Amino acid sequence: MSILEPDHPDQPAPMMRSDERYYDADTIDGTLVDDPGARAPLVLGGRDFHSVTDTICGWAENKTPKWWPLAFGTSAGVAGLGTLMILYLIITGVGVWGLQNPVSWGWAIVNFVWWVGIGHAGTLISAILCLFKQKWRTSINRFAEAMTIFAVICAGTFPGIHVGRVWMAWMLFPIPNSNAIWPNFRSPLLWDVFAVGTYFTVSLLFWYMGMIPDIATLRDRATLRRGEKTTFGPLWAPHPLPKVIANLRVTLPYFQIMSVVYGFLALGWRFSCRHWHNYEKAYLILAGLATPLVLSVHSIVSFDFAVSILPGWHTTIFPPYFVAGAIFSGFAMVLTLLIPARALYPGMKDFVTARTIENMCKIITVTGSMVGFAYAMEFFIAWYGGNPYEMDAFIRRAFGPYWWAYWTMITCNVISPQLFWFKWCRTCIPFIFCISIVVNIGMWFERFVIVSTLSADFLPSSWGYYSPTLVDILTFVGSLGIFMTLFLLFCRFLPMLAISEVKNVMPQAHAHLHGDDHEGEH
Amino acid sequence: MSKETHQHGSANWGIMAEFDDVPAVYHAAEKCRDAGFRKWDVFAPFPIHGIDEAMGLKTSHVPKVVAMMAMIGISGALLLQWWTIGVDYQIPNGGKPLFAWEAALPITFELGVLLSAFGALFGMLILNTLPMHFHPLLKKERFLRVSDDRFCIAIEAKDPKFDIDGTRSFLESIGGRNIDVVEA
Amino acid sequence: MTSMHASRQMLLSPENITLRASSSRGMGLMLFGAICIAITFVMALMGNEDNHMNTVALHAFHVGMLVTIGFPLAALGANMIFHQFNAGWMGAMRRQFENMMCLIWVGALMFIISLAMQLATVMSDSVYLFHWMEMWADPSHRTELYEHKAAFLNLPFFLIRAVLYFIVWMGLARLLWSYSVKQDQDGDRWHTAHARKLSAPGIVLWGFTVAFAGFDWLMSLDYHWFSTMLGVYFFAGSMLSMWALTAIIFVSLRGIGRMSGVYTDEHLHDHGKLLFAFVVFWAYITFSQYFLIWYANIPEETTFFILRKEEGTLWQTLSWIIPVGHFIAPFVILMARPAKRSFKLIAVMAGFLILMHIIDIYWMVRPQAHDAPAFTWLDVVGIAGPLLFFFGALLRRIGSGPLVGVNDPRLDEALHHKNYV
Repeated sequence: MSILEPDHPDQPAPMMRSDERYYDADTIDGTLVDDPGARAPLVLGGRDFHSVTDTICGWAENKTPKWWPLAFGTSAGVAGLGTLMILYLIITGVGVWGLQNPVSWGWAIVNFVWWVGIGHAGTLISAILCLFKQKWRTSINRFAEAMTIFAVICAGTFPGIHVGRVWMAWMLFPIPNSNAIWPNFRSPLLWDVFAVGTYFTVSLLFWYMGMIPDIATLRDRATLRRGEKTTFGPLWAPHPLPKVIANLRVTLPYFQIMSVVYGFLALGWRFSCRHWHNYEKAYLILAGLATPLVLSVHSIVSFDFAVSILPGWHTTIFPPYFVAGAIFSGFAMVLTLLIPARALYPGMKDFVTARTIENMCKIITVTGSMVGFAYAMEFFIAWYGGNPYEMDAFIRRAFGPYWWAYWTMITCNVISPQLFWFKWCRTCIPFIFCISIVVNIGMWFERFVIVSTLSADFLPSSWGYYSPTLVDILTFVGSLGIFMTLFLLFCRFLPMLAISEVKNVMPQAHAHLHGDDHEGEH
Repeated sequence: MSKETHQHGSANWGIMAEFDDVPAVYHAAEKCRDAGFRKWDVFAPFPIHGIDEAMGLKTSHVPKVVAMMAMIGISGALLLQWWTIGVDYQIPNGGKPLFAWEAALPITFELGVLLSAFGALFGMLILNTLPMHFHPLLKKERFLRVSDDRFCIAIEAKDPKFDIDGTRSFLESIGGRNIDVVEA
Repeated sequence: MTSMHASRQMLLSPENITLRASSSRGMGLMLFGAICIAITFVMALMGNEDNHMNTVALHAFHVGMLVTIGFPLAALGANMIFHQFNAGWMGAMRRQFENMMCLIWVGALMFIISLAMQLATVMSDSVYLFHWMEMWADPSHRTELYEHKAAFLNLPFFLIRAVLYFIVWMGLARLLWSYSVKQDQDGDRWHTAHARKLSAPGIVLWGFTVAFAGFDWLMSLDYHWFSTMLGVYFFAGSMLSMWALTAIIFVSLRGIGRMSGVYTDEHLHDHGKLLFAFVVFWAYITFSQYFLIWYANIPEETTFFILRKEEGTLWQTLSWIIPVGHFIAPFVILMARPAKRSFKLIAVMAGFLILMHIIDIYWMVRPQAHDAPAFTWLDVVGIAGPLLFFFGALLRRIGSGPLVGVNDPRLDEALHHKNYV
């Protein structure tokens, strides 16, 4: 393990113990050190600053990888399908969904909460782990923040189209109007508008602010190469396009164009330390603001349910339990995206180390257990409270007509993350990928279980069974397409890793290089 | 060449010098600070830990901007909710008070955070006088390497202590390489 | 910067990291606490239906006991969290958290005294701390609701649970402590790895036991009322008070010339940040619980807040003092960076926050004593007893060994800890 230089000359070099076993090529990078005297390196491959810049910028600058057009075409197609469904809904009415009394909230709210929840991991990684000084986050925060933005866009779509008359959606905001009416600020649904709106805006600011220096790097590199001409085409992927278009070759001064585009976005950032001084303070403040914000957003989303007096919805633990669930699903989604990216982009494994992945698995176990804790508390208090309706709601959840959803949720959310107690499970990359998908399915079902509680109303004569229509399903699938499309665009054109932050956690970044400083945490 | 003639007579923006690594630029910054320069700056691809101290920078004003914006957000949100649902358009429903701090808190919090976040980003940009898409330094090809792996110190011609030859030799003495005059 | 370059040997010299002559003071405090406990006990025996001193004694002592248990309990959790996070900056501070966590036995002792006191009041005047115990003891008093909950709220199961909690807490504390002490002696850094392995399942056990302890000892005081959040609430308050107490310990140690260069401005700054964070976390939990109950306005839940917000001047006043003193004031004061780097201010705020935590628990527990007068001298004595005894025991413990785990593998990292922004 040559990369593991000892932190202190007087300390023995960290050694592998005999019970350290490694299982596949992804994990033999030496970062899974158990030795409490050592810190795992955060950037591998003996890189210097230049090679870090080169690798990360290269993903945005180099020729499009061959898989990209295929992936982009597929997801854009799915996104188009979703858009068609939304148009159909707007033209026809909300009746195209499976909503019926008593289940007046169906997949739309499930999808909304699911997407918002996924968004939370980005803020958690960038803000909370920043405050906790978890330096391993630098390799994944940009990625996760981008995911946040796109997830919140998908989330915002659902309540937006659920209002029925979409063209009246502006009435959600306190805009003076000719009817002289104001929105009802006591309604939790209006709090959602402000919470999700604020969350989207702040996440966008946070993401953009973190990207300013990196875009400036891309700008400078494009400026230095502005004389080069780049030829695009022919299209590689199998496609139904006519030959003329497929064989088209276009030569453009690509870097000249990008120099202007990136230059505009970089706002003239010139890496001044006087600027960094304000920048770091502002970044820390944004992290400090985003931390309570992320808690508040999902708490407010949980208020949608919890302020009601419906059995199964009115539970005081809902706010922290929703937040834990959100982080849980968000980390799972980050892993779902990160693991393929790590395999597809050359050099990414040097930044996203086995330890980073392992840490994320641990967080999934922690938050999964918190969610399990909340399920247990809900059940216990439902019984302890002695309210027969509450008890009935919970018994119906587990053994009623939706038992399959409940047990899917328990299996995926509570049981599957417990597998990460075993080191093998935390280090086997394909296995982690599978679990990350399982967790996302489980978290979708969690929201479905909550919503389907509506099916058993107070009046047994109104009981019903909710089934989604094809439009419901295709709209949801379409939102996945929108998400992936946006994400692929991000991967193609923007710095996928926070370049300046990664450099900052490298050993060379320290001013006092006399053997007693510390690189890497956790 | 006297300071005055230089300042008025030529179109130089200042002088820049390159440094190889963090310790070099860090110690050079300390020397610049001690030499009493005012209009000078260090350029680095990432925020160097402790460079604020080495440059003698004062505490950032960003928190003040944020605090002010937070106040505006919180009071604005409370006023908005109190006026709209408490006074102007009263909807009695659910047996709830028309205006109560409990029900107003979520939106108050959100708007407080929203405006604070604007304060943090835009406050940072304004304090840094950004966006500024054109800058003499950005015309230097050598300078563009700062965004990759180089470290620079630049002293502006506007600095009272600036004097083109003296400053050049000073930068040399503190370990600067590739010293270059930056045209305005 | 000078501390950065000071040699490790100098920082870890015995003069800097040992405390002498704290044993007698600790004994004194313990004795004083014991006297208070004795007075409370006597008043519990002497109280009658007219002066209700037995009810007051029971409730006041219960408040003191819950606050006292909270400190070591939270310290135990914090320790396991440090291990899980591989927290570097804690290297030099960990020992004080360990000292505190080893004092769970004080909590257990207080619990036993509390049981004895309850037995005495029940025998002499049939006054109960937990109303459900009266129903359990006398089936003729039982309500339908109690019948439903009897499977959980009955004395044998209550005691079994309490024993279980203490076994878990004391067992975890004992194991963690033994690793730490062994490391002091043999310097093997793998003890830290063992502690980390233990902490992972430890936190799970700890989380469930703390939540159920909250249900048992706080929520079931009024057996009608319920809130899923209460376990988290107990955790948040205890954590905050524990961070405050450790801050006082470190500031005092620095004040008498110990741990200089070991616990620096930088550690204080982070300590202050954690205080601030838990002030916010406590407020978040408290507000969520209150808000959901307020908004839904279901009678079986609102009883808890109506009793405290609308009945009795003292409870009403406290209902205003707690949000201001437990959240708004410390939030505003601790927000600024200079505040978090001031030893004096942090010490004052920490003391104030502990006081607020006591008031918070008092506000939770004491209004349940419906008939008793609102505030008496016995409340002060009853709360002070367990606390003083605990502080005395803690002082003795701090003085009994080095103030720092001298062979902690992360000690260097901790000594060089610095906040750059």
